[in-house]
Amino acid sequence: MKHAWIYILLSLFALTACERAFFEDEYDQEDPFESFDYLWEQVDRRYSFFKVKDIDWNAKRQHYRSQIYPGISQDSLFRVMGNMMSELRDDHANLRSSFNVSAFRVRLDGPDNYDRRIVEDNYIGRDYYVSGPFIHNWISNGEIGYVRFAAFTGTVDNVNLNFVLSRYRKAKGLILDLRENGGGSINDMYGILARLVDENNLVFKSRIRNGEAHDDFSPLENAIVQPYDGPRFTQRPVMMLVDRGTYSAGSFTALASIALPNVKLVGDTTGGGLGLPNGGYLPNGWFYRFSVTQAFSNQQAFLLESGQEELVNAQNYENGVPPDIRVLLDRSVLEVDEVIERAIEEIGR
Amino acid sequence: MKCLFIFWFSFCLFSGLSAQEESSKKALNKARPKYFEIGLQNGYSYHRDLATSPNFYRGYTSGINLHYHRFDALRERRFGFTYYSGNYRFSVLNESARSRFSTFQLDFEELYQIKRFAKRKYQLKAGGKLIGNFNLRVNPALQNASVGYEIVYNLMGSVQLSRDVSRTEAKSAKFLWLIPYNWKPRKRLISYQLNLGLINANVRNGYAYVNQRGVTNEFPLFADYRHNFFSGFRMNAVLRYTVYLKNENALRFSYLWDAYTTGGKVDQFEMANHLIGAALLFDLSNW
Repeated sequence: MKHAWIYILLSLFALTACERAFFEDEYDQEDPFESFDYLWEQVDRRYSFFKVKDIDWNAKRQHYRSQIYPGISQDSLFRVMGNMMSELRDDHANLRSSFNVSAFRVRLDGPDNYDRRIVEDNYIGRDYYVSGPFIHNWISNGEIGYVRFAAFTGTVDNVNLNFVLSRYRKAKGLILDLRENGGGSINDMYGILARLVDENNLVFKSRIRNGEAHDDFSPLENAIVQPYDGPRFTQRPVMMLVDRGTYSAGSFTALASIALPNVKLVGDTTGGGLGLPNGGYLPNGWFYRFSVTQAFSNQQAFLLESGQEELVNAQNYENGVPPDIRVLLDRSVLEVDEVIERAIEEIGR
Repeated sequence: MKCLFIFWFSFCLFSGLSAQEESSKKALNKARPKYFEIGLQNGYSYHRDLATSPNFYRGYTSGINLHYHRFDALRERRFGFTYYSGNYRFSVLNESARSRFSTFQLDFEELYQIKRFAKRKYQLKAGGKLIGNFNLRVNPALQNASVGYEIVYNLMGSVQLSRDVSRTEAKSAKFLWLIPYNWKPRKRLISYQLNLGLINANVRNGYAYVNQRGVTNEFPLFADYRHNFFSGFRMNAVLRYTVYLKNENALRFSYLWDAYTTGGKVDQFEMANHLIGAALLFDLSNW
């Protein structure tokens, strides 16, 4: 045994193969049932609106799992699992593969309430300004500023906002058009709302799922808007235009506006989407996401903290933030945007 | 695991005391060689965070390590910093995902000779190692969870077996009976060290993985994170071959295997590294 030490080292070296012993088992990537069960369990463990939407998730599992069989095609499996996700009636609940993306498309629950061409032809004209993500111009004989914000792209910055607000500093009012704004980066919301307040303002409260029971949530946390130290628009009315296509960060902005005295919502109920989406991958490589938080107006938060959860669930704005003034487009008249007209009227009062 | 820790602690205390009796002389301590080690590592690695993917991301990683290493047959102390980073991906059927993963690691280890097993060429040492990782993962496709990070730290029990494989006599021969060569006497050392997690802990994301501070306009680094004590397991081993140069510096080649899991009922993080390393050890004895 001249080289016994070599054998000893080689034996010890073999230990390196044992890492899998303390890892969890791998999933079968091609088994449709494993991917289905994995998705169902992830949603069951973390989705935040089961109670609000009164969804019997166990029943959904039974219903959709029975549609799966060994050897099912990827397309068919995707349809089954995508349909199960759409039962959540939440556009933050999606399934994404290389060949399709599932979505509930909540905006189709309401009428189309925005037509860019009507706005351009009859209100802002051809010479409108484009300042970063904002399209804007004077309307109503140069008395009111109209600002179109089509998406929360995460590109709102102080240079753009300073320009926009300086331009309309003498306007009688401001119209902020968030119709068909599907959301994006919520940081943009804080950037915009910071221009509409003079002091720190508690605009809504939020809580996050933190346990296996469908009603396990963290304590409420405050969402506070801090005023920007620069051009602001706080002493005159702001009309925020919304519709069913106003979703996610758009709906959060609408929700926050409830706490701002100089802001009114005009148009249709928003699409909702008041939960922060989070996701991951399934064993078969598809990507999923769904909401894990809930947001409440200050009044709802007060009721919630008073133990009236059922009442709050019944009126939860996840199903849409209602407008202060409900107005729908008349699609038979293509020269008038009734929502803008109503906003102008409100500013003139 | 707690029993294992208590057993190991008692064992090390006993071994350490007997070793310290032997090495209590200041002269011995002063004469103990000390080195600054700078090394490069490359290798294969894979990981998965069950909070975001049941599939393992696999890839090649490379890194650098800077360590202070002081050792002789009686005692050994090594501490320093390692950084490694790599691009990882998984591919399943027609789907794939990518992730950039970086680790910042601090470690400290102290080993003592176990006198009972000491022989002329063999040394057995035992002791402990404290290791802490800060992992940073970037995967833009995960949207609100596109940046993930956690801290994993472990107190490990360590055993090191080393053998002096020095060439004590000059050797001349011909390679393939054609090419003559002369090998001079050279000090060489081969060692194998196994580290086993005794106290395993981590600071990991909360239940929902993401936190809601983005919604509430606050950005603390570890919002909704949880400190999980006695959770998970870690095991690593390193095989080192050290060749000393004429100027008392040394070259070191190593193979490192490191595997750990954060444990917990759900949403474990699991990682395994297989790294080949080469390092220069600068002799600091005269500094």
